[in-house]
Amino acid sequence: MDYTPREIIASLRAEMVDRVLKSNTMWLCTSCYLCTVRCPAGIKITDFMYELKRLAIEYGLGEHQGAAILAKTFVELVNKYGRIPEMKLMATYGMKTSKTKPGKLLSQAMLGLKLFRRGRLPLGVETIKGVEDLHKIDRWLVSKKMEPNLVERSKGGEK
Amino acid sequence: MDYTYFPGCSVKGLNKSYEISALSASKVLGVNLLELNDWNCCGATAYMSIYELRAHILAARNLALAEKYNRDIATICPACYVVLDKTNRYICENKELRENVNAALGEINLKYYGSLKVRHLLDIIVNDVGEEAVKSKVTAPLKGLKVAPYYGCQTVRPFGAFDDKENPQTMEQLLRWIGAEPVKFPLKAKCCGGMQRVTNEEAALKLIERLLKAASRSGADCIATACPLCQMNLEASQDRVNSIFGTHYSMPTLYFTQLLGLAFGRPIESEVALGQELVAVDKIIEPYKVSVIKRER
Repeated sequence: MDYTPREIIASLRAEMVDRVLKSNTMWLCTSCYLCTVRCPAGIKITDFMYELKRLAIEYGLGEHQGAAILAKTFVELVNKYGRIPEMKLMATYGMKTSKTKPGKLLSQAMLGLKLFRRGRLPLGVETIKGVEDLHKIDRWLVSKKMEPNLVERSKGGEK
Repeated sequence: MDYTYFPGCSVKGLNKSYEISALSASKVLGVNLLELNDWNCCGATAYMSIYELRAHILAARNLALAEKYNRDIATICPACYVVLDKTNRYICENKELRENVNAALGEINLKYYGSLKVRHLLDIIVNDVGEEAVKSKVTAPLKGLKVAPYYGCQTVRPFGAFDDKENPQTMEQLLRWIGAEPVKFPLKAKCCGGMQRVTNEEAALKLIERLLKAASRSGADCIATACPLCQMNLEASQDRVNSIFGTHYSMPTLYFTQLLGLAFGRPIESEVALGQELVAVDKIIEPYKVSVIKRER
């Protein structure tokens, strides 16, 4: 972890936003919510970490973080199918990171093989009927400028 | 007792044994899980990392679809549970969010009024079904089976809707009702690393090793989980943990619903959904399997 959560807060107070958004701290947050339930001041730290992740993506500073690549892949697949085909998520993530972490693809493939042998690998991808409804909402959000379409934008290499 | 059942992607994919055993145990207990038609992914922890409003809308579509049935929503995956519950609560607390979400849902002729309660099956079985009804269904008490009760994070956090946020007791209660012996497992609500097993394996394996060590030292025969991600991390990483840390863990990791099925004497393969484990469970289930066969004769 580049900086502890305390250092993150202190850096933001010192207006060192770059340093915070480039760090891997928030990308290591698993949403276990332990900090949130323990914070004596009632700060929702997990939600705050989500906000930092979104800002890092928006400013193009999180692109190299594994968890960011996985999250983007996740969003792309949900947008396409309405649900998550887990094997496709793992395979796509493995391909996307194969240059920087070549061992990862292999170890994922080994695990896939083990699961396959135990009959646990799901086959096929299911698309929900409402997927067109989700696209409709997406288009509406973009037209109303309610939320930018970051996944599309980063694909187009605008940043 | 009728509930609108939200399965989640994981239990339809790699973790079918959780759904199969959950549906079977629920049926025995008279808990009627009616699957929500055309549900979509809850968004898990990933969607919220990229989009805030979209993530809430994604969760809220499920809530809106479920609202017409006016039943509590039953989840088995803690990630789905917490995401749906969080959106449900935030929508009710925050007028602006509620209006934005409903404006978006309006585009597909849906609206969420905020009338539902999102529940986890563990909560439903312990608090709605209760001790007497559970005990009355036990035909093969799991006498002598030492179980490390593992809740993971999101079953109890952040809201702690049905149990303590750091020291929950519900699963221990349930395990005792079916004759098993829950061991003292202080890490029961600590994180397994979640998706970090994929994106930052080093960090996740440290957490997983810590959990396996604590479970082994507690004398547990197996770990019981209420979460598909915890199950996968704890079971599928044991080889990696052993090779990196020089350990020799071989700790069966089952869903709490599989232990229920065992105690209720359900068919081992088709309903308890055993047989797809990466860490063998034969040794620990053998004594109880025998009583199942006896009973069937």
